[in-house]
Amino acid sequence: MKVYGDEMSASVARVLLCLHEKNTEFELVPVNLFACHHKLPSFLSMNPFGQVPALQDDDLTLFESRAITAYIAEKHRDKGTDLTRHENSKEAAIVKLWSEVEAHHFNPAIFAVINQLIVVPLQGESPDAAIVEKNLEKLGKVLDVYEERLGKTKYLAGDTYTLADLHHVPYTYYFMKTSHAGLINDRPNVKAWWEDLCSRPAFLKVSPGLTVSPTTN
Amino acid sequence: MVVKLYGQVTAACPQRVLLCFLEKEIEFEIIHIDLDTLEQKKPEHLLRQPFGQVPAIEDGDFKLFESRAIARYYATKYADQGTNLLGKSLEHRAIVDQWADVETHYFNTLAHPIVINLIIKPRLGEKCDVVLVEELKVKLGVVLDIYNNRLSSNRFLAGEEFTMADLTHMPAMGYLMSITDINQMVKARGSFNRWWEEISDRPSWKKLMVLAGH
Repeated sequence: MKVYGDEMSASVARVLLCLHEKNTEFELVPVNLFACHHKLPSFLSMNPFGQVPALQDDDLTLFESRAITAYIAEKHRDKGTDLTRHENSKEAAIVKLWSEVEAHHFNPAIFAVINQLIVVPLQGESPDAAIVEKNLEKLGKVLDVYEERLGKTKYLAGDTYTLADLHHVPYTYYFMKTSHAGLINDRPNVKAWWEDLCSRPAFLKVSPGLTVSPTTN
Repeated sequence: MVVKLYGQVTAACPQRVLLCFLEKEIEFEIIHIDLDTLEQKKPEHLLRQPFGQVPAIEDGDFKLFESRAIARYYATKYADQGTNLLGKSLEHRAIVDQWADVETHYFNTLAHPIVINLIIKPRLGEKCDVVLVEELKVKLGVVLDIYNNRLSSNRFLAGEEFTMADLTHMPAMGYLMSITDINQMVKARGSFNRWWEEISDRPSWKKLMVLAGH
């Protein structure tokens, strides 16, 4: 399997975490994001939306990090961590439910904050404080739901770690580098869940590549 | 016992689930949650859906929310009945997932605020963010060009068969096509327009439109 991207990209990290959880060998083919190589025709032929990551596995080319993790998790369902609860259709549906919650409720809010505090300064612009404030508020409300949920289950989809948890990891890692880490740390169940996610061997292999930091808070 | 769908039949996310039920020939019961009176924010519904949105389902003891997760569960549970929505091989399923995720991350992120500003806000007597809508339309044009290119060499988004990847776009497309400017943007893109005309001709869409009072 070849993963095209850069280790500092949260979406690429999502795929790398999954590969490590499944003990699957892969080759990371660098794509220079600062030089906009992800907008070149050679990359657009793999992902017409011009975003990393892309995956090549024999004849299959895939983009969208969460479609890639689902593919890897299913192809290698019999080894490594059970990331999808595939043997029980109702448990598998609950994994999908909390994966959708990450995609629709958590990601838009946390990405908007990370974008302003990390990406925008890299482009030489100033963060928009109003966007940060609005999305911190949205994120807080989402994390209130998580706090209640994680008071009932150890992980989001139940008692085992699944893709529903994994998909949260890269942007949360970046978020914890900002001055707003209190949103996680002030919620005991969410904090315990996050600390558990950070203790996993796959995380310890991938987090060193998540190198960008906020220049302002 | 039939599955209960809590939602409003005119709302996009419940429609996603209803389309799945119709394609899979699954019997269902709609329990109306009135969005105009904010019933979805009341304590009784928050127990079903903690974000205060529709839809949610109850199927005996089994409860679920998030329309795309619900649709996927039923498409899997009834894999051998009705339309195959998920793809036939591991690789085909991955391509279906890919284009379904494109709907979440590229299409819905633009379609949703456009529909909110141009259709929902006027209904509620609220002011539309005109500047935002113009920016969103430009971005939507770029995204529709990518879809148009994909559909110029593929009958449907994931290949030669109708799948969840196409279905998941339909409720928002129904709303967008009622907006003149967007309707013209769609018609200006030959392959994309061909795809919309074909999928909106499906019996499931027509039955949904009847249910929704059109």
